[in-house]
This record gives sequence, structure tokens and C-alpha cells, in this order.
Amino acid sequence: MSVATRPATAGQADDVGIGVASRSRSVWRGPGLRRERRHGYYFLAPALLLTVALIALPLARAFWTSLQRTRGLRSDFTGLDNYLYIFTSTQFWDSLRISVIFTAVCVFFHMLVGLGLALLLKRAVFARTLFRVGFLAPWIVAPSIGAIIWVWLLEPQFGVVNYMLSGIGLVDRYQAWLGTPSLALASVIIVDIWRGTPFVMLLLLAGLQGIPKDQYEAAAMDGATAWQQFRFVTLPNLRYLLIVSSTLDLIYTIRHFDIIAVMTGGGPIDATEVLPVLIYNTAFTQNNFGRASAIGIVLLGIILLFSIFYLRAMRLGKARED
Amino acid sequence: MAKLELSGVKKSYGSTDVLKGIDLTVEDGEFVAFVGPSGCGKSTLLRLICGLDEISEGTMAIDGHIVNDVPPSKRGIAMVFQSYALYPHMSVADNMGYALRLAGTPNGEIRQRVQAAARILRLDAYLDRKPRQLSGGQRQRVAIGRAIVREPKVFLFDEPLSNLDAALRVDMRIEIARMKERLGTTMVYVTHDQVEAMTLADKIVVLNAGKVEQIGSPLELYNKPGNRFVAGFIGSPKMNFLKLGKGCGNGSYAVAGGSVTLPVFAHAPVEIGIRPEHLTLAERGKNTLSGVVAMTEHLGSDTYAYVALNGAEETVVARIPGEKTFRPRQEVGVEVDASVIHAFAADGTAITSSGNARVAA
Ligand SMILES: Nc1ncnc2c1ncn2[C@@H]1O[C@H](COP(=O)(O)OP(=O)(O)OP(=O)(O)O)[C@@H](O)[C@H]1O
Ligand SMILES: [Mg+2]
Repeated sequence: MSVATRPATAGQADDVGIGVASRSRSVWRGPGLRRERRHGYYFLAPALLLTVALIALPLARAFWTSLQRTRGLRSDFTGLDNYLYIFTSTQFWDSLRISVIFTAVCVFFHMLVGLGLALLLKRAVFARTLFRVGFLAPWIVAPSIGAIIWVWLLEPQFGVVNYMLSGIGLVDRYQAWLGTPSLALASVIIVDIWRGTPFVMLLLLAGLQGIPKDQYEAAAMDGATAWQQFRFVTLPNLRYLLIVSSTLDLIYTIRHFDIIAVMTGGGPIDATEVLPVLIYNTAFTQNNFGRASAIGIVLLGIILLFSIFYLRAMRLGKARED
Repeated sequence: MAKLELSGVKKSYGSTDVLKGIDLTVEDGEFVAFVGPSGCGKSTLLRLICGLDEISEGTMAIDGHIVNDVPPSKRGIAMVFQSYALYPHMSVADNMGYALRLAGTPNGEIRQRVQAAARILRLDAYLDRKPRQLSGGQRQRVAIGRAIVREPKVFLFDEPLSNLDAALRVDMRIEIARMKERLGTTMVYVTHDQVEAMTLADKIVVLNAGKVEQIGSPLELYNKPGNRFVAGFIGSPKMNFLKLGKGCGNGSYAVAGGSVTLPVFAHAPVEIGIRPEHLTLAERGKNTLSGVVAMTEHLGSDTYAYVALNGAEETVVARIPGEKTFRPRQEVGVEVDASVIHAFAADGTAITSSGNARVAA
């Protein structure tokens, strides 16, 4: 990345306050530059303070807690005992497994359905805006409220879902969607697909609209079928956005809490206890803040890994555009 | 190999009629240029020919077969887009061979044809590059190469050189002229650039507001424009128009700066047109129109002198040898080469006559 050709953006801490022009003109080297840099940090200070107060301190505190054994108001330093415990307990590994399944399936369908809807919406001529707003609704509704609505819909005796499905003969008796371990995970996954798809759809729709129309026309002239146009024009043009949005979605979904907390609380028999729900249950039903913090730190590590991947994908995409 | 026939072709988007009945024949091997002001429907017509848009009314035939319902890829037509429309993720070779690949051509033959086209366009060294690693002129050549590789019956170009700088444009123009000689394929070429149209085309189609104004060879259009629009559109600098005032008998009419004597016409002309090179600046005299120099532009070989004729709102422009200079507001006489005056009737159509015009102050 060459500084001379790109304006400094707010996100680049090392360039703060130093504009393009001042960098490239040698007049500004020397004491002037140092002063500019100092002024830059003054401007940055409030945001920096807030970040430290709201993110760094709680994080440090959580890490500190994860090294303690807490009982009621008492806590004793126990080093890495909590980590040792969780790595040797089946509960953590089960929860991780459920998290991986939940996240993988959800992200896969967010992308698949999101892309499908985006393709449809791009072509829609009739009631375009209505459809766009309509498909966005699940994303606008707060997840916990959406989850409550779904609990009603899935209610075994009076729920709409059972009523409709048994009406067309798909299920022959009333299903306890959230009460049966095998069905509960599928149910929360479906609800999360409902929740998470619109955001992906919106991103991909924007991406689709950015693909130059003449590439499709050239492909049509070259004799490409609709599928070949998708395969050789749409996908390559969308590739980078697909990587970025799936990683972003993955980071979001693996730490998603609301829907499962509201719908099943992790049950039945821990069948839907993803890591964030496990953390909650450990902290607030078992009152074990130390262990909960340790799981939290592990989850943070996992998320950081994906974040690094995300940042790399972003940089790669930018490099390709230049 | 390929003759294009359009008859009564119309195109409308909703309630707006973009093309209002185009009749046009492009002979086999002919190079036809579409020119016309922005928004007149040149691109639209090209898109109808290649099949990217549907014809609303009328028919189009290739070699006598009506192709209104034939999809673009089956018409044997290749199009070179103004924006190049290269596939960004494919190499130059893949871009050029993509149509063949889709058609199921064997790999060996694809490679052979791509290399042959690359040689013609001097792209051999760039076959493995991606489009973004090429200069504008190279990209343009890839876009043309992609069309050549398909060995189409007809080439369509939509302002292919408009994104290039002046020098490259000249190079590419020569390149296209060479390609025309070499391939002998029917070509339709849309351009804003008069020079491109005049130098490349066998036949020029002047379009205006969705209608054909005139079709003819470049010199025909230049020397015998069929109407005022074509007269004003072809040629740079533009033709000068003078409104005719009262007739004073003997075919003499008052114009700004003096009077002209015209031969007898079938209809009464209301306006005459004179090309800039048919005006010369001289001392004021009996056979000149009088005016003052408003401005001069020196182009080296030529000088354009803008002269405000007495009593006229707009200036006329004279194209005179480059070494001549005039002071601003210098009083001059404008001599008109009376043998080449164009006359126009009230509806804008050109009126011809056998006799010559005369000018008097
Ligand atoms: N999809 C469309 N819907 C409605 N009107 C259109 C559409 N495409 C083109 N037009 C109109 O048709 C007219 C002709 O457009 P066209 O692109 O053919 O012009 P052009 O002669 O190629 O102009 P330019 O020289 O600027 O490229 C324009 O007035 C344009 O607004
Ligand atoms: Mg156009």
C-alpha cells in the first residue's frame, strides 16, 4: 500500500492526522511532521480512552477472573485450573461440537439462501422495494423478539407450524420441536437461518449490483447459458465478497446467544448448548464466574482467529482492486 | 458472407420511441459507420443488430434469414464494447478463447486461433496477463481479439476508441483499417469521431433522433449533404449557415454582411451553407461580405478565423492557411467560393441547381 496514492483513513492509527498532501511534500518532514503526529494523537485520545474503558478493561478483568476460583463473593487465585478443567470436561467439548455444527450449518445456509434471494431480488421487476423490505424484516426485528415469536409458532399443541404441517400431512402427530433433542438443534438452526440470511442477502445484493452489466452482455454474445454466466461472471466477481461476508457472518454466528437462550436455554439435555449459552449457564446458573470467563476467553481466541482471516481477506481484496 | 438488412426497425422503451423506423442495408464486406449526436440511438441500433435488445417492430435479416428471434450467440455476430467488457479474472488468452470454449471447440484449436489473433493484434507477449495488468490500448486490442477469434460474419464496434488518448486512438484507427483489409468481414462501427468515420467507413449512416438522416459514402455526405442536419453534422469545423434575407430580384438575396446571387432553384431557398475551407479572408471589396475578425485559432497547418459578419449574431468560421494572422477586430472582407454553396429549403432539405451562385457586397 502506498501512502502517497491513498488518503489516510480513520482506521489507520499510524497515519492519523497526516494527510496525503503533507506526506508527499518534503516540506513537512522534520519537526512539523512530529507536531502533526502529536496533534493526531490528541484527536484520537477520546476514542482511545473509550476503547480502553469499554473493551480493554473488561477484557483484562475477564481474563483475571478466568484465573480465579469464585464462590459467592470470595475468589481465590488458581492459575490455569479453570482452563485445565474445561479442556478435560466433556461438557466443553460437547458444547464446542454443537457450536461448530450450529455455526457451519447456519453460515452455509445464510450464504446459500442469501445468494439465492439476492439473485432473485436483483431481477425482480415487480414490487421490488416491497420484497427488499420484506426480506429484511427478520434482520430488523430484535433476535430475542423474533425468537419469542418462533417459540409460539413452534408450540406443540397450538402452534401454527404443527397446524400447517399436519394439515398437509407432513407430520402425523404433534411434534415437540423444542422438546426433542434431535429436533431442537434443527429448529434453532432454522430460526437462525431466518434471522441471519437477510444481512448476507443485503451484502450480496449490493455486490451483484456492482457487477458491470456489459460483462453479462459479453458473455451472452459469447454464448454463455444462464448457469455459465453465473459460474463465469457472477461468482468470480463476487468471490471476494463471498469470502468476506461468510467470515463476517461466521464471527457473528459463533457468538450468537439470543435465539438459543430464548428458545431452549441450551436444552433439552444440552442438545443446543452452544458456547455462548454454556458460558451463560456456567456463570449464572452454576454461579461459576471463573470457569465461565475461561470459556469466554477460549471463545474469544477462536473468534480472533477468524478475525485475522477476515482482515487478511479484506487486505487481499483491496490489493486485487488496486 | 454476410449481408445485413433492416427494414422498418423500431425500438421503444415503454412509451418513449428511441428508434422510429430504420431501413438500412449493409452489404457483404462493407464497413459502415453510424454517426449522430449523443442519444440519437446509435448504441440502441447496434444492440438490436447483435440481439442484446429485442426489436419492437420491423425485421432484421442476415443473408436473407430473419433473425429477430435468434439469440445473440447464434447470429454469428461479435461485438466490441466501448468499455471492453473483459472478464477481469481470466487471462488474456482465456478472455479471447472463452466463446470457443463455450462452443466446445477442442483445446488445441482454441490455442491456435487465439495465437493467430494475438499475432494480428500484437498481443503475443501478453497472453498470460490479466486485463488489469494491461494498458487501455492493450485492453482494447484484447476486446477486438476476442471478437476476431470467433470468426464472426459481422463485427460490431460501439465507440471502441473513445476511452483512448489521442495518439493511441490514431494507432488503433490504423490497426482497425488494417484489420478491415485483412479480414474483409462486414463491420458496423459506431463513433462520435468524424475522422474515424470518414477514414474507415465505406458508407456512413447519419442518425438523428431515432431516424436515418442520410446514408452515403463519406465524400457523398460531405459534398452533397441531403439536408441541413447532415450538412452541419459532417465536417469539422462545422459548415457556416447564412439566413437569406429579402430577394432583390435576379436571384440576389440579402445576407449578413452583404448579398449573394443564387441561381434559380425549384423551391425558394431560405438558407445557404458554406464550408469553412470555401471562405477566404481578403481586403474588403465589391465581391466580399464584410465583417470583423472575432477570434483566430492557430492549428499549425491551418488557421480557423472566426468572423462576425455585419448584422449577424453568430460568427462564421473560415479555414485559411496556417501562416496567416489577423488582429482581433480587424475589418475584413469574406470571399465566398460561390461554386460550392449549399442551399436549403424551409424544411431543411438541400436544394440543388445547375447554375453557380455569385456574391456581392
Ligand atoms: N433501457 C432504456 N430505457 C429507456 N430509454 C433508453 C434505454 N436505453 C436507451 N434509452 C434512450 O434511448 C436513446 C438512445 O440511446 P443510445 O444509447 O442508443 O444513444 P447513443 O446514440 O448511443 O448516444 P451516445 O452517443 O451518447 O452513446 C437515449 O435517449 C436514451 O435515453
Ligand atoms: Mg452510445
